[in-house]
Amino acid sequence: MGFELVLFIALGGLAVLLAVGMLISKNAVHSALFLIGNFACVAVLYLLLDAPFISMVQIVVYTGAIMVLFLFVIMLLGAEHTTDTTRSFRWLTGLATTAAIALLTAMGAPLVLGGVDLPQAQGDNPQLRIVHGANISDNPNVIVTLRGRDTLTSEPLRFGDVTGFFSVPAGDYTVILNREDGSVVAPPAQLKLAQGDVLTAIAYGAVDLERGTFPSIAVVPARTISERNGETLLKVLNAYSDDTLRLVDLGPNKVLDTRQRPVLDEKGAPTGQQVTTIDDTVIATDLVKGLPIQAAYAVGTHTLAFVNSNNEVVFTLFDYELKRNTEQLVVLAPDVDQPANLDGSVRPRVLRNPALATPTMGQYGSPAGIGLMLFTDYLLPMNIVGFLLLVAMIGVIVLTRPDTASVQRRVVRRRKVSRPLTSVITQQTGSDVLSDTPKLEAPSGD
Amino acid sequence: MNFAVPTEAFIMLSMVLFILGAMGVLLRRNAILIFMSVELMLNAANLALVAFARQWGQMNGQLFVFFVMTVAAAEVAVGLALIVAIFRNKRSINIDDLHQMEG
Repeated sequence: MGFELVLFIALGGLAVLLAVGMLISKNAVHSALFLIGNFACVAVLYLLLDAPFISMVQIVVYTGAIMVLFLFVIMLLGAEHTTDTTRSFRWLTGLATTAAIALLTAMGAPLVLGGVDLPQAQGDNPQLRIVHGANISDNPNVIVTLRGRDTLTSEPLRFGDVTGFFSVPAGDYTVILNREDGSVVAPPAQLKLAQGDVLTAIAYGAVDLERGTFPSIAVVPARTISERNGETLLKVLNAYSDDTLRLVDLGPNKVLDTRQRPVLDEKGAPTGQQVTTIDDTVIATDLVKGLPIQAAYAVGTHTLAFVNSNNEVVFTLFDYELKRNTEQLVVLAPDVDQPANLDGSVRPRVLRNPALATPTMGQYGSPAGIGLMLFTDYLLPMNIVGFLLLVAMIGVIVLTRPDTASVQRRVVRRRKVSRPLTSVITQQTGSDVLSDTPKLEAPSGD
Repeated sequence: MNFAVPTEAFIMLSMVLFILGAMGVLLRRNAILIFMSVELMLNAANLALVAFARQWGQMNGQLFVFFVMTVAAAEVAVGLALIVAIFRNKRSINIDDLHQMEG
């Protein structure tokens, strides 16, 4: 039996005992304290259920604020001793106990006997977006078609465009890149989409009939869970050079700092040869063409550079901003808009599209994850709940307002009615006004 | 996915706590204790929601718990204000003394 199971049984048993204690305690303060213990046990159970944020909120809101409110009201009213003497519904006790046992049996039996088939997490339908980074010099606009269990066709994409995420049923798909006139750019690529996948498909490469190369598709997972705060997740794709590149932070001097080092043989003796090493921070290595590499780097504005195997800077990204809680797709692609180099090779560029930076998913149950969902999917319920709290606050003020003004007015009015002036005079003078004064008689004779 | 503590165990615990809360509402005559029992029931429901959230691997259940807690806080504030107001008028929070609708 694992530690977690032992902890669950201990805490669960304690929670039930504390709940029973709350039920049968004669003192309301003791009941409140039992309930605080129960809530604390449940908070630890939330930790077992991978809900650390909910667990902390449970401690702060429930065992903190709400139970303090309860204790305050109990003390305020002096209602510690709960005498259940004037009970009118004695027959209810037996009935409630029977009903509780019946309910427990009816609901618990399937669980215990295993008759309940709890569905497992399957994840949502796969989501896919497409980035156009392919070099098609004659007609750069491309229409991407996804064919499989569902057929999806994109808008014409310009070089560097990013589509939104679209959801498709899981299965095998064929990705076809067409020009706007319908002619096929590249042989169809196969893509397998599983439940729960969130992917970015990057069309990269160039049409080169002489060498027989065509654009193809690289797939990078998107919306990954960021494991470290303060770092941006980088997904780097070399879609330009056949060389193996490295991504280097050039530092404040914005120049690649290299150093000559002697090459040592196995015994540690210098061999006379020299090797060049990079002094700047290397973020990602082994950037083979078409193979995306994932790396993490500090948040901030940096000057990054792609460096080839000869320690030459291929492309420099000046003032590249890496944002917090973001995953950034860095695609080094051939630039179709610029004129080619003198030797006929195409210059590179990094796709700069704000859509390439997407927020990372918060970790399951973390404040970041819950906050992200609260401010995206659950914004309206959040507003409604906030409004409800406002209404509750006003309601409490109205309910507990000392109603002095209306009480005084009512008392004054009642005195006027119930105590006529004669009785007031009687009280103050000590003699009965009505009986002492001679009665006026109606004049007669006229 | 296999969990160290199965979801069924959490649902059982949540059920027991909920039924204890329901019995408290039915059996106790003190308004404050009835209120506490309602809180116990809400808490049991929250436990079930978090357990199901883990079962599905989705955080929506935890967000629902967040909302339930907010609503519970509002409800407690209003409810306790009502109890204080009733106590001012009746000098008692025993709900058997509050039979106003009885014929």
